[in-house]
Amino acid sequence: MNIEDLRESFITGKVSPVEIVDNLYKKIDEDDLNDFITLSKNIAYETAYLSEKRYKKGDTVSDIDGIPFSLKDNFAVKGLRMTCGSKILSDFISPYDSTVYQRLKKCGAVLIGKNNLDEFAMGSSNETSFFGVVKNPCDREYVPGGSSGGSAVSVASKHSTFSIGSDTGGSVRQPASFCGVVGFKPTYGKISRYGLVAFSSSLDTVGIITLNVSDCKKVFKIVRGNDEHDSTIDDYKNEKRDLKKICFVKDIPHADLKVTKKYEEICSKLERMGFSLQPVNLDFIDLSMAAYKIQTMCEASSNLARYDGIKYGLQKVSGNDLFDIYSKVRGEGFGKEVKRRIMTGTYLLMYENGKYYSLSFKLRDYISNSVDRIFENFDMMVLPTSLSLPFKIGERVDDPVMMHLSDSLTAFANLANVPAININAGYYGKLPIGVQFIGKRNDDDNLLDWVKIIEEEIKKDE
Amino acid sequence: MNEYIVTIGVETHIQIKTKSKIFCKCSAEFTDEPNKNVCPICMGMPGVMPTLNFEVVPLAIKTALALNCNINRISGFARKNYFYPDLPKGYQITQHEFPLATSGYMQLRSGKKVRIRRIHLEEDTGKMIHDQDQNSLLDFNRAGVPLMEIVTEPDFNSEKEVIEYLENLQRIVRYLDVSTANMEFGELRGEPNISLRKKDDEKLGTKTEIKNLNSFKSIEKGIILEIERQKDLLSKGEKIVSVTMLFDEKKQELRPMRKKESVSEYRYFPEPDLPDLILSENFIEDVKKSIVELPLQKMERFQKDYGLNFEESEIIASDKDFADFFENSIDGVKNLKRVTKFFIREIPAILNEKKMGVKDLKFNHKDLNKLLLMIDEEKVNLNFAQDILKKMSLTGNAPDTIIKSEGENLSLNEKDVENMIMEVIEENGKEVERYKNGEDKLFGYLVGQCMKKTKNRANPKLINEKLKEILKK
Repeated sequence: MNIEDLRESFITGKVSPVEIVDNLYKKIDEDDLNDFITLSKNIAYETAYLSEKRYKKGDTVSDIDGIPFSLKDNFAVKGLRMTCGSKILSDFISPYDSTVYQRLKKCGAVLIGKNNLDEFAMGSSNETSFFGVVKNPCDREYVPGGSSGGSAVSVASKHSTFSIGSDTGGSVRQPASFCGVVGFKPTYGKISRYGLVAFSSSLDTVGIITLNVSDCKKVFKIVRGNDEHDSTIDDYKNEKRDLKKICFVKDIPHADLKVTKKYEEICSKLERMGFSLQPVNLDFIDLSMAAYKIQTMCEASSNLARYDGIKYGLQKVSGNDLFDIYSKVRGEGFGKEVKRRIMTGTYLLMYENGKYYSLSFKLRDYISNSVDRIFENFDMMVLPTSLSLPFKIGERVDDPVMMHLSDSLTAFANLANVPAININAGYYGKLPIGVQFIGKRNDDDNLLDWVKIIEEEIKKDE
Repeated sequence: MNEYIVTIGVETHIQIKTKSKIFCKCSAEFTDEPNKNVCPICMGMPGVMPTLNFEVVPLAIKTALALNCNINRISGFARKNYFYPDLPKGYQITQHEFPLATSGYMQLRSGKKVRIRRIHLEEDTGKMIHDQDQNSLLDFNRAGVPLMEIVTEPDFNSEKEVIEYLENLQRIVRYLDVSTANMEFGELRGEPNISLRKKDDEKLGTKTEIKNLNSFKSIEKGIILEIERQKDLLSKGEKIVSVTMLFDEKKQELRPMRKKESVSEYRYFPEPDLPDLILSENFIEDVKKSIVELPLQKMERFQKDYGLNFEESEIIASDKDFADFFENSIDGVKNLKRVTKFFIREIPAILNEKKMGVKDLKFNHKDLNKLLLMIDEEKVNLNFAQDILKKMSLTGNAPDTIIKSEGENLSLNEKDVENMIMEVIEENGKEVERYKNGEDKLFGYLVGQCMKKTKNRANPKLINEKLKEILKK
């Protein structure tokens, strides 16, 4: 059930928040999709109980009072384990709350648990998690996408009504696409990152996964805004306006034909809805992948330096010297993909390789300017979210290059710092196909309003 | 021995005196019990973000302006990446490419200008302590305490110049109330880098750095030792290796710490979690206006206005509170020369004895002023004034109260004085005879006897006059 319907049932007393929590935990157990790393039963029952009392008195605190939700396991909740899908933090208990969690808690939402993810949010299939792969509820042999795989699965399989994920290069939109749900990445700096474990700080955004766009709007309204703990917040909003001109891309290299076919269907639907559709050229896509790789790996190498086994996390007491201890802890604690990125990032940041990192900034400016120029003439861009349908578990594990290509239609929105949202466009057999709408910087509210209309139109056909 | 030219540059870390740390709200009091003033942010917990404590900015700008620097309207933070247990995040947030201030100078007494290359903001690290059982313990109270680093160009040619620079710097930051700058607590840490070259060489030699210098004495000693060491090596035809030398205070010797880490190993890059620090011209102007008279300016003024010599002005101006106290206390005093020594010897002695500042004295400048005026008007002589000052510092009573409480009247009337003089003359018949027979120098002796009789309380001027008068009779 979506937020609105669930709230209605709470108000009419058809079902109570505590009963919902009961049902969810039963279903999570039965479905066995591995979408949760930690279940927060104590918190869930306590908050659901309090919410239930508020519903009885008729003085609920928000639209999401009593609504069950989950957090990707790279968001901090005081007293709960936060693993980031890594062995190195497998026993780490957070001593503080993330801002996002605090805001949701204040609104009476009920935390069900912490979702599985690719280790430190590095991956596109949820196969790099120390806690095992997550299964796609549409077909259990397929990956759910990543890195917010557990989040997308928990919403798609109704284990939580919404989930908070993180999107650095597509990590919310791509799994949403693979699982057939809504995944929204706002403009950088709209939602506080305090308490989100950093992967690549200049690109990380807090994303929202829901069943529909209307729910997404509700959650976004609650979690967005200034935070004394995050000085990169800029809550500026563009003025409200109507959607008129949309741009699309004619030829998408490497794209699966099943994806392009669905994409073309959506484009014609948009035209039928009366919007003007014109093609644009995204010749910066290849460059964007280079810039994305360099920036994320460099920043990750620094962001993950704190996991040294000294203050918390996996510890090794014996070693020849300090650096022996460091290499033991980090060698054992991090998985293959994370190590690959730390090593590459460290190499790229070395003085003699300085040109790569500074070049990535130039590329980023170029991409940003190119995207801005497109939005001088258009209100919105429509694009497939992923080049391919969900792939089978294990299919691409040993092919990092192919795996990295999964981000190619999503990462440029992070580099150009613009909002983007995935909604379901339909299915090929059991497998969902997503479509992505990208807006102008600070057009978050407009984008959500417009895509809500389009979503309703697509649903009519089903 | 004179064939080498010594070149020294200095990097100085100074803790900025703020209530809280630079990137979180923890108290910056790092001497509390270990790990008392820590939070997830300064402990580098997963997911935390820094936010700049803006309190540090005007304090650093003040220092930069006092050192004649340009304040950069836009500066930015960067990460300096390296692994060490006392560094919670695996990187230190500092300023690299875009420091807060650049291109300043400080003028030394010789007239030489030492150029300041840059001043930047950064966070301090925690502290690693090794106990007697060979355990390494970590205290993160200091992690995140605000620091500014002041880097000079290699403009010094002797340890004396370095010490003069650092002493001036210490006075300046204390004057500006930017830092308590106690070297023994590490609030001011000077790290000289030293190189030697032959007179006719244009290129600077390979430099070495000295760390762990916790007093001016150690800095002086460390530099001297390092110059000697390098001279020794060079004269043997050996090459200088770029190392960091550690000064061992107990043994008074240097030993190499580790190979100097090269820039590449720090992997600097811009800190994505902090926006650029953008300052308006108005803000900088505002800070400029709040800068008080600096020590060197004050010393010059004291020499000019009060006729103090260099050393006197340096002693009095070394501490701002003391200098203010001096100026307040001498209000209306005409013969300054007579009372200056109170500020050079007596009062510093009281302060040193109790290891306290001028604000902790039991008497205030108003009472001291009363006493100095009495000296000025020759109502009391200097010896008696010293006694009174001591009593003031013990009791906090005003000078007139002290005199009264001694049961004696300061203004012994003429009659009293005359009577006492008569007594002295009677008791010293022989000396009076000799004086009258031409031994003029005995007059002083007789005055002394009179003063003794009056227990230093009579106005010496009056005694002089009266004694002369009576002896003439």
